[in-house]
Amino acid sequence: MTQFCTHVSAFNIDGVWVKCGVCYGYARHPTTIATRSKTDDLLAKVVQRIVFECNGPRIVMGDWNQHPGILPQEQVLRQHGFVEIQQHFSSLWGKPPVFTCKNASVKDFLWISPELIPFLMDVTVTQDLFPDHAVLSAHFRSFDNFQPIAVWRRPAPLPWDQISGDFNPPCEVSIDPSDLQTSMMSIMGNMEQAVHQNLIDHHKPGLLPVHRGRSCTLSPQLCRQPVPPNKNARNKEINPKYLGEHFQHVQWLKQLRRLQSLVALLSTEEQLVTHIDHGTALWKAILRAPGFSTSFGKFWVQRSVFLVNAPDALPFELPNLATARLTFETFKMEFAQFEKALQQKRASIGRQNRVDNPLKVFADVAMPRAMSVQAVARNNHYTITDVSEDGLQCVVEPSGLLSDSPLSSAHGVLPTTRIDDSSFTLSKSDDLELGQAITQKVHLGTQNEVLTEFENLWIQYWGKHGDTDPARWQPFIDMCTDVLPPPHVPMELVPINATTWTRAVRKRKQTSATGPDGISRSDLLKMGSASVGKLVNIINCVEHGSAWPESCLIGLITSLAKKESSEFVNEFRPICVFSQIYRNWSSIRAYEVLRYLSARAPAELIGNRPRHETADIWWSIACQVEASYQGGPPLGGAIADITKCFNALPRVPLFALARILQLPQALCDTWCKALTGMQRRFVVEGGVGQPLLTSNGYPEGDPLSVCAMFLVNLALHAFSPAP
Amino acid sequence: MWPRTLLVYLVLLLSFRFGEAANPGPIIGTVNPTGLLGKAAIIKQLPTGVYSICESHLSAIGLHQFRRELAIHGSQMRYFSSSNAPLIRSSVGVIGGRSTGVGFLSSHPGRNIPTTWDDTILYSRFSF
Repeated sequence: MTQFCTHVSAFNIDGVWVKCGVCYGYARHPTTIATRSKTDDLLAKVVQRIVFECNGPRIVMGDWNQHPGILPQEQVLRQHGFVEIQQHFSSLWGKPPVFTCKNASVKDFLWISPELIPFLMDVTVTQDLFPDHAVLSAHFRSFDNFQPIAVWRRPAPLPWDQISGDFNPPCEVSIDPSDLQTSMMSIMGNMEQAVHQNLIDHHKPGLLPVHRGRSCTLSPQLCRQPVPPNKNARNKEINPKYLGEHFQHVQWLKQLRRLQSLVALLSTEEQLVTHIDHGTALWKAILRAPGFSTSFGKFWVQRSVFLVNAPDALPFELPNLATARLTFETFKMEFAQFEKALQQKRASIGRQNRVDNPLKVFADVAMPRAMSVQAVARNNHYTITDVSEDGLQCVVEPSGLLSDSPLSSAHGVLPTTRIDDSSFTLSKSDDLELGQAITQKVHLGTQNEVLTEFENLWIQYWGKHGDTDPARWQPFIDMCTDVLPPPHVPMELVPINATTWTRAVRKRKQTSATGPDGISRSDLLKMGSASVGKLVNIINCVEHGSAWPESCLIGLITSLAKKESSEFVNEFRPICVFSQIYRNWSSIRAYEVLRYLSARAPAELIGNRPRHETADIWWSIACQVEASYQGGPPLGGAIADITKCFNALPRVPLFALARILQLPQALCDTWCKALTGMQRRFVVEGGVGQPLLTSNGYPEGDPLSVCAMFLVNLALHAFSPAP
Repeated sequence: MWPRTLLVYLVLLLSFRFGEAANPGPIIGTVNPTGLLGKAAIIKQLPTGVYSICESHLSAIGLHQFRRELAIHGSQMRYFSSSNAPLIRSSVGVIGGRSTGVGFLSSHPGRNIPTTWDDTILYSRFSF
């Protein structure tokens, strides 16, 4: 039944692959709950395949035989930024949806993904071509030719659950204080090789290239071609189990099918000349196939699966049936392992992004998880500079109006009939005046546009005091020196050892995010004592003046929606994930700094202190208010909020304050080096933006940022007049 | 001579319509034609693009015939589907399918993409 009512295909339009899913809902007794539930189950399969397992421009459509808003899957589509074209146009232009079924109801739907919204120009409903149903069409602007996507390569998780015995490999890497990045790469490479050897020694498949490369990615890779979707299997061809989009997966699947085809060809009883010619050409294509770093022959020598009697090296001439079959079986196992690694990687990313199925239990009371950004909108502002006598034509400044997006004034959407670059015409006068403000909402759906929008917003905060003269902060520093007495005993910086390091890693949550360098919490816990020792040496070298390894200071920012219908860039919260190594060092030192400062802070200072919480503040205020009501002295107060607080804190005065309070110079230098060297990149739908260096603020996600806030609290508390 | 040549070039240049109207983007739509067999002439009236089809009524034989109809009418559309509607009756000579069947009509190159769907609802008591 599923196969008769659902189908998915992909179409190459202007060089862009658009994935389309169609669903035909049950027509008999459509208003019963049972039929609706069955139709929703059908639609759920299409939604799962198109929305969750595909990327880029996607469309879900069909005759669902249900009224709008009935099926729960519509909520899932909405939560992932999809819009129904008639409803979207109605909200933009105020035109109600047109009936599509027997001129009496809307039963046909076309939901487009956020990437397609900026390209949508018009919606038409053609009634007179077919009986009963109209043709519902979306007209798009020409898709731009494929823009290369910058992709951040991260290795797949290591199969630690398959490691046998006591894993504690030696690590002979020598640490070079002048080039800690290379040392870090060597330590991680040594660990990966040790894992690979352990698997091989215990007769298990070793690591694939997709598992390797921790701390090696320092810049994104440009994906110059769109990832084409895999072709459906013909006859007895192998079908993939991994249904996501991965360039190397597409190439490996093609190679696997070539090998399968070769085995089938060589298995025919009578080998004609045409068979041999075809087989020879196919074997040449197999040896030259892309997707194997150097060549398939060299990949074969370094493969991770070794079957009995499999050839050590691949022949140049057409092999016999036995060799071809062994090659195929070996590569099939490698491919299965590759798919498993991709599925594990996808599952760990999916846990952070996916919203649970609303039909599951507790869905009614569970808050949906925040969705990562796919498309944003921007309000362009214009001012009316000229109005015609009849009030129907207006000229605005600046120019740049878009003809396919409605205009709004303070009173709502304007009834425009024509929009040019710097003027527009109304169908009826709306009492517009000179100097009145007009806005136009622009949808940004291409990756580059969304990335640029986020970068432009946040660089205003992060680059704020880049040119500020440090002498500007001197009055503040002098005041702090006067009001904040330095502690008698300065903070001691005890070098980190392997025990402290491992204890801090163990305290991190099991679901702690893997950093951009590919190093996970499991990697740090299970890498062996020798490797941990080398890692700690690197950290101590940094605290003694060496530069941080570059891979430790790269942060990838995911923007999560603050509310369900977030559209504009300031309605998204940036969550920055740094390397586990940096975060672990930062949490060790942040704990020590907070303990030191908290022991010397006034008792009334609550913020950012261990074993203190906001309930303490509200309780004390409530008691004072109650006492004042009961005849005590009059009470007054104020509350202030710093917008985007962590990103607004200046660095020069806070580091000066840290030194006034006797925090160790080495710690402040190491912290400052990290902040100055951090590169943050926004991530949208798998693509990464430009690296942003910062001269202001402290990153959210860095434990030491809490210490910066605590220093601000100390200063503000000292400046506040005593009650 | 020269002014006349220039005038001709100017007229030719002005006859080109630059902008989006001359370079329309793709059209993607959805339609329930209540059966596709015998409707190739109507399909030809649709602007080129991608259209999802619900209720194609195309059995395996019907699909073959429909594709011939499209070719006869010179349509640029190709029909993509992964399965055919069951025959409406089991009599010899019947080519019509039941009121079901989905697919895509497209003038753009495309391919069916793999799925892991199984026929768990195959024996459902609900008919089409």
